[in-house]
Amino acid sequence: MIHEHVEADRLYFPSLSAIYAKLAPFSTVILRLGLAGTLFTHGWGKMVGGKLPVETMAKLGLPMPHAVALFIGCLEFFGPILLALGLFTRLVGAMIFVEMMVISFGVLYPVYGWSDKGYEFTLMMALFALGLAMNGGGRYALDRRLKKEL
Amino acid sequence: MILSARPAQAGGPLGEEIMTDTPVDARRLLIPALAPLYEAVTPLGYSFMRAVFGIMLMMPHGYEKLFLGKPPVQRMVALHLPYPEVWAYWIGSLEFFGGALLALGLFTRIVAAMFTVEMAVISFLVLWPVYGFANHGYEYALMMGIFALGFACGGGGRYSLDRLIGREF
Repeated sequence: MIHEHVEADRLYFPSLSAIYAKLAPFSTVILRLGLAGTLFTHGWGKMVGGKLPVETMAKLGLPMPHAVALFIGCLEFFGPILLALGLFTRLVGAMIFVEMMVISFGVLYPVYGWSDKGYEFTLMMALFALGLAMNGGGRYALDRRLKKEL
Repeated sequence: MILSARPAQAGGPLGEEIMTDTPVDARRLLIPALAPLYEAVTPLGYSFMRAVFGIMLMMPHGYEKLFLGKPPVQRMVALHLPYPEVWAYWIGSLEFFGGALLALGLFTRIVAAMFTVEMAVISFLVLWPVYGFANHGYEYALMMGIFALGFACGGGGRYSLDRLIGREF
């Protein structure tokens, strides 16, 4: 939760208060876009670039690896679009959290370890997705514009 | 009087707290039963992301630059910066101590703004020319830069030392 209205008497430079108040609501938008942009490049590679991770799913011992791979591709392709719009933010965030946790600890960690092509960034994406799921879409989100919210 | 020259308040009257993400209105929810859960986690989300960012940047990246003998001196030379060693240790310090400050939410806006600049330089001047986009590339540095910009805009949020101390930059 962000304090959108920063009281001037809390600030060392009180004149910044008006600027801070203008910027604050964009914070959640920027965080959403940062995660969405990165995810989308991966979703694009999987859906359009023909890199569906069927092999990876088979290695995880999942049934119907092709269907699961397609589901993951859709999640990484359409999920970021929803995140960017701020639509169903909490649900999409939670789904991406689960996906990225599985990738971090089920796929990458056993093979690569922490850094260098490892799971640190997928873990970071997982935790930011969780953070957005907790926080919701913020003020500039479709969730807030529509009558109902998930 | 300097105090009387304060700009007009952007929100409601002084002292009233207006927050972006406060209202969890059960009547608006498709599943109203989720309202208590949302109310419990909503105040935590932003500070959680801030802490994750600070800790994950500070521990692996700043730590190895400062204490495991991997200051990025060659990178600084490649950027044609004067005193590359000074720059390398400065970047290590920024990542380690700045990450800690961000995790605690102290001087949040300043530290986050510095990270934004750092990640922009890494993304566009260091990684992009060599690796391109999604191949070992700058996507993650760019992502971290965007996150840092978000924190620079948002400040410390509900649970931060900035908030606790009651004075902030």
